[in-house]
Amino acid sequence: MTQKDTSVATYPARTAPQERAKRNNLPRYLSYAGMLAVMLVIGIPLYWMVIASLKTNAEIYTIPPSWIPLEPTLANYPAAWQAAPFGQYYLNSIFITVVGTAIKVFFAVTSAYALVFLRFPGKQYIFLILLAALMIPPEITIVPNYITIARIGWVNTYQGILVAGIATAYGTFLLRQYFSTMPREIIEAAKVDGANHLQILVLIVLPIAQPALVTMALITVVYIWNDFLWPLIVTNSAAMRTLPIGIFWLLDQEGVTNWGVVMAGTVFVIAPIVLIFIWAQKYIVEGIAAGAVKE
Amino acid sequence: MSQRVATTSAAPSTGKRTLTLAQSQSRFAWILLIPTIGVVLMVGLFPLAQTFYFSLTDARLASSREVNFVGLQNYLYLLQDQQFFRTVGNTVFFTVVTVGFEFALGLLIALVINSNFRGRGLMRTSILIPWAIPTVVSAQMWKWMYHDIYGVINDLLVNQFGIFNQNVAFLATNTTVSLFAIAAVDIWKTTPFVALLLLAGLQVIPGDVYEAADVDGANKIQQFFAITLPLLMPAILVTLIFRTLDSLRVFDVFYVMLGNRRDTQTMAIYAQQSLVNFSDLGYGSTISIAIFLIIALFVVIYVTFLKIEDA
Repeated sequence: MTQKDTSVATYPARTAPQERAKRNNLPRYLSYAGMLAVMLVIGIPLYWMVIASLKTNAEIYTIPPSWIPLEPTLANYPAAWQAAPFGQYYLNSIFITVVGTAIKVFFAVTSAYALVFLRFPGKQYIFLILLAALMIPPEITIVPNYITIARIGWVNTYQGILVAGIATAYGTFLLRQYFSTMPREIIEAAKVDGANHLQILVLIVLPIAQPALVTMALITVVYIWNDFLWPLIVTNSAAMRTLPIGIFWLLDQEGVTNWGVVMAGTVFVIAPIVLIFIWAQKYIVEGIAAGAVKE
Repeated sequence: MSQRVATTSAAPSTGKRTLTLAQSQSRFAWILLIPTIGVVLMVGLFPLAQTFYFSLTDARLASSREVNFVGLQNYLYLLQDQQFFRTVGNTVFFTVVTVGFEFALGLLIALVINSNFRGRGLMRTSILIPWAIPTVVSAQMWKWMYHDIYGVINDLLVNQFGIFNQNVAFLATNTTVSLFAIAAVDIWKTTPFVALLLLAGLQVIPGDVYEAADVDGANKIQQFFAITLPLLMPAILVTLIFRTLDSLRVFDVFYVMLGNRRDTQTMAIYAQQSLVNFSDLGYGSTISIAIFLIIALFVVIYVTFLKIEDA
């Protein structure tokens, strides 16, 4: 149960795929070719979006379109920044995303732990309720939720934006599925050793489930960061609004969309998310997950 | 004698102890679950019940007219509503195409990223970017790229590669072409999400299972079907359910790119149109309940065939 045991147990997980990959090189080259194709399909539209932010509006509307900006300009970036109070939107989005993700991950972890590792009567009904909640179309919930939020006086507040997260059910369902693949022997062994639930959760379940946990957190971050309709409805002042609403204003300003400015604004919005991806992706694949059962 | 006393006195005390253990475990479980259940009831099931009530009335949005209870009248009308069945057809078609492609591509990408190769960190990061762009922006962007005159896709297909000899109006003419064009946007945006969920599932599979299989001389393909696929099942189920639910409720990408066009309308857009444009709260609610039931049907199918209750 010590630190040392778990770190020793990681070795098979990291070396095994390497050895397997060495044995046969053909699948490897096929993988590279496939990946290259996928990268192109994903990359061309992205390239197109980014270079649009470097073009003048006149160039964007030329026929045929230009693949390399003829007169590259950075003017779209300050123009986007000044078109809406992006500084305030950044603060609001960061605050809501950090707090919202922390709350959702916490409740998803605790409720998924109860659903998978605890025995209690009525468990399957609870699971069905969560599943049913997942199936509700958002257009059903938005109006009644606005009325509820207005009644308790939470319109234009952070808690008003945060509370309408049926995404909690998403997280619980997701973690339940990943927890359920976990080898039961480890949990049983820990119980025999006298570990309590908190110890089992923090020292065993969470480290093994690290890839799933980070994935769930990432999904929650992207979901809250990009959520548009609910924050728009539940806020009524620039002081409370979030980044996607700012982007929407850029899109909506004139009859003709100024794509250069919109794409510059989009770069503002997705840059922090890309940084989070870069930081988080290694925790998805380099957990201590794989070899943990080895004792 | 003394021995017998000891055993009889031990029996009830252990019985009592297991009972309290079970009780305390159950109480602890409820403590963990109550916040989640509470939020779900308040922001999910309560609005659902309210919507069901409205679907049985002739209520209008923002109207002071008296609300009458009309029983199943809205539902009878729904069963004869051609436009509703057209939206069901469009939405199910869109769902089958997008979920099918996203699952197949996502699984391939996840398997490749899961193996060890140089630059996979970069790959994992960059592959997720389409998913990070807010739909309002990416849908507008694609609408512009699909444009029949200055769209970049026509430039690629006609001028750069010469696949077509004249420009195609992807979003204007034919219903099927438009549906596929929008499905392509969804596949582009959401395949990374599918790959991410499946990658997490692959990572949770214990590595020593593969070692044992290697020792036993199982080849790659045998290992995939005998080990990877069964152990990945819970993650596959989560992925399929999430994606199917979202596709059946699809709203924003269609709304941004095609507006209220009738022939390509989805269920969610029709519900929204009845509610907001026609202010028909009763019928809009009826459509929403129908969407909920159709989604439930899909979930029941998945749960039955992929055995969700195994945990």
